Amino acid sequence: MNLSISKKVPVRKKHSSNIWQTMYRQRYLMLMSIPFIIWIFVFSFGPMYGWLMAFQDFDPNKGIVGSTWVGLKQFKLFFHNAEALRAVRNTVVISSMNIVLNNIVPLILALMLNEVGNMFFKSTVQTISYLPHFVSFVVVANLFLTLFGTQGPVNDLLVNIHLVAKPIKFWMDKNIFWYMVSFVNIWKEVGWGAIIYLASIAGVDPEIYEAATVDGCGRFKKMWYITIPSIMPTVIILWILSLGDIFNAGFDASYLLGNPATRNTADVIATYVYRYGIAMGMYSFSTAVSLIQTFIGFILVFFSNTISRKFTGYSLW
Amino acid sequence: MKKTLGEKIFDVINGLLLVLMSVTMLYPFIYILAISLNEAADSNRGGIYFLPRKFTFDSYRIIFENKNLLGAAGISVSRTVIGTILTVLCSAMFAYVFTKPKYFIYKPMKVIFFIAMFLGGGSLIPTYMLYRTLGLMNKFAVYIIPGMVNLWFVILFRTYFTQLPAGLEEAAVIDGANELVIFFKLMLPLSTPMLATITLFSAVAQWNSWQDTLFFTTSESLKSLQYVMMEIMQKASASSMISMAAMKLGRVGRVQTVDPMSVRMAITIVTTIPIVLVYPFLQKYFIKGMLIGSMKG
Repeated sequence: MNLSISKKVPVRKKHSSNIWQTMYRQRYLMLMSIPFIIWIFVFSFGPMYGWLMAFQDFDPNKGIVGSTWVGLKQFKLFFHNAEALRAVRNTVVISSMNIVLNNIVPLILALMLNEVGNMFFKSTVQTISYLPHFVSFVVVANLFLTLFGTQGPVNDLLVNIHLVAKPIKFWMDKNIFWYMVSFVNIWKEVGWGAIIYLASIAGVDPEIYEAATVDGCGRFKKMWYITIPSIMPTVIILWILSLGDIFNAGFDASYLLGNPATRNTADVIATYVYRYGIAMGMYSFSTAVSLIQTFIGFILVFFSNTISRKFTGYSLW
Repeated sequence: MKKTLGEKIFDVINGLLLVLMSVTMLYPFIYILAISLNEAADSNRGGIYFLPRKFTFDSYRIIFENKNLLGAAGISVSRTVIGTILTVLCSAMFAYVFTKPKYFIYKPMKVIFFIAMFLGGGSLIPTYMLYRTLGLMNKFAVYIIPGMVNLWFVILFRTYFTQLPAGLEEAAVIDGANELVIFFKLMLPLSTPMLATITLFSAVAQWNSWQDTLFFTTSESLKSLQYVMMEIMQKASASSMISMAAMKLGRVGRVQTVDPMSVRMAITIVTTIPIVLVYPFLQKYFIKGMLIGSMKG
């Protein structure tokens, strides 16, 4: 008994070297991390405290502590508000179209690029294809509002080849807004999205292709039977993970490309919250709306992550 | 290897489609460039598609002579420079601490980090209220401080640091260097590819940002180029300042060489050019960086 204790003693002594000494030894690490931990508390956790506004009739002069609590009133208002529900519908439609297109079109582009033999041509096309990703949405909106404007080149072309009698008001028609936004989004992100597919294609073992060549497989067969199945895991993960974004349609597209004439189909949750929250000062109600949005988004991410882990073995956590 | 006829046809069609796509990507910019370099009165007659017909630099002259626009350009440049340097340095420094599991608050720090990553920030109105409380409204700092650390960049940097050979750092420790010195003298210089990637991402985000101006400022002097461009695009009233400058210039030349449209196009080109100049040279870096990030994800 004594022996075992005496053995432990030196170890314990080492461990009990007091916290102040540890802190002194790691003072530079503290210097390099504590400001950022404080930053996280203020700027990441700070807004979480603001969620409480959703359960109040928030008055900016009284602050969260002083405002009256109203329970779920704001949420009930939300479910009886046609305009808010319209924003939800538009969000789901626009983001679903984005998810589908942003997963399929870049994949097609990657497969096409992969078939190009000339490296110079391939890298040039690739470089051009992700230029729009780096350009701000304001610039993109500027380009497309002009290009598809009534006096823009697209209408000129359509009129000149007598496809239409007079210019189409592309941006004033609420019936086609969803398609226009989808086109702009895919134009902006297709090249960027293809990068990850190209990388996963590049990761396929070249010996498999050689073996297939020896067996007399043509290029189409190789693409169909080797390339596509090999990158399937990547494709599936990207699909599933992007599902979490279904309640998240960008503010940019709707705010910059939409206008009062198209609001019926253009207004999404983000623009709705901005309009009611900041522009009109209905803080509590719009906080409730975005709380619902965040909550559903989180559940979707969680679900898709679980599904992804189950079926593909890959997950975020 | 010989190609079959079918494969040759496929190659041709594939190539043509890719060329068509590249044209679709580039044409909007070409069109805008042509309009911005053409006399406004002439542009209104239509028919400008690829090249300017009556060449003029007047729209660009307006930008560089207009005080408001120059001020906006100043805001854009300063927020990009200051914001990028700060974000890159802070994210890298924080990431370096995350490579030290022996740090006595390593575990709680990690938990806090992941909670922030998945739940933090986000919603507009609470953020708005927070900035109001902190007094960030209508301050230049609102462009810099909230984005000081980017949690995603922290992950990218950490992944990169852990892949560096450990021996170098051990040698530095034996030489008596403290963590701060090791970070600045050893880790940062060894991480050039990652630094380039993150700098590009961060600079592009700062340069392109306009929502924070819309949400958190009302002051005329804090407007960035992107925001001014958005205003000209959205609101007719905002273009009056351009119209006035345009009329002044137009009178001198006795032809209407500039109108809000041509100035809008010129601003679009001016805000796009820095990006077009920078990103092709950094692409081998950012592709790598993006892949490290996605593998982690």
